[in-house]
Amino acid sequence: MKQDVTQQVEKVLSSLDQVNRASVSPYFYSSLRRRMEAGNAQPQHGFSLQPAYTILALLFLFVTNVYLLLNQPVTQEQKSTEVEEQTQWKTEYALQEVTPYQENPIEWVAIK
Amino acid sequence: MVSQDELDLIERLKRGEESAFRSLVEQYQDLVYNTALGIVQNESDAEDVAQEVFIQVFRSIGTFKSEAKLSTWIYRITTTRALDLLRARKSKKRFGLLKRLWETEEESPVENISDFNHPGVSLERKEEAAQLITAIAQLPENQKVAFVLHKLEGLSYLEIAEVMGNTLPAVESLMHRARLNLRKILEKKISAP
Repeated sequence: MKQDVTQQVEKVLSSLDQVNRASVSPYFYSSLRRRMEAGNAQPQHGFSLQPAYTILALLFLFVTNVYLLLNQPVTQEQKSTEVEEQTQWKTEYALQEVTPYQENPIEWVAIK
Repeated sequence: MVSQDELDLIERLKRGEESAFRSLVEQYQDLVYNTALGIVQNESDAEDVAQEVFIQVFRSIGTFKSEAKLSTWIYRITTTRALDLLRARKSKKRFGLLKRLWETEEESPVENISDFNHPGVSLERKEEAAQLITAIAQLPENQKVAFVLHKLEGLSYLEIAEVMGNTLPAVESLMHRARLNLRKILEKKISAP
């Protein structure tokens, strides 16, 4: 069985012996000249920044950034810092829970 | 050793003579096409590569120093361009995976996975040759180039060394490793149920 496989492999390995050279189409030269005259001598293959791919890449970056910004985890430390800042701000601007006006409401009497 | 005819042709090419360019293309078009075909394994792509090779020759003939033969230089450009195409194909494939997420079933192209048939192979050997060519496609670049130049273009190891800018022992090693790898690939394929 193994001998059969080895024989078959050898047969395949020698299958390109004495292969004939492939030929181009009869219109190769005229096609080449047209291409050169059109000035289209840029490589047809290779990485190219086609608009669709560029837009796709930019969109992907944008979505990723937005997602990361919106889903930034808030740590305990950040929370307590925020509370401290709020308290300090309230004290600075004297923003207490209850105002003096609320504690001692003035009862307006209708002047007849 | 560069012949006088070749030196004359190079001079005429450097002067920009169209007849010289036509003569060059007619002389080397099959060499370029066949080499490219062995590497890229697609007739349309091979023709494209062949055109790019002659365009590059046209542009850079002014810098060509006749220290090496014209054919050596042309082989070098051909193998470089063909490998560039293969690399570009690979990166397009990777990007294509992302694109396919947005495409419907009707839009996405079906990949052609059938074995490539080299037009220069006789009918009775077509099947085995197709298997070998598919296996060649799986070789590392250097081994692929050396094997194609040897098998499809009939270059000696010394000539391959000149084309690849390698030493003779390096090419011998490449060919040895290429054969080992091809055997492994073929044994796996042939033994598979």
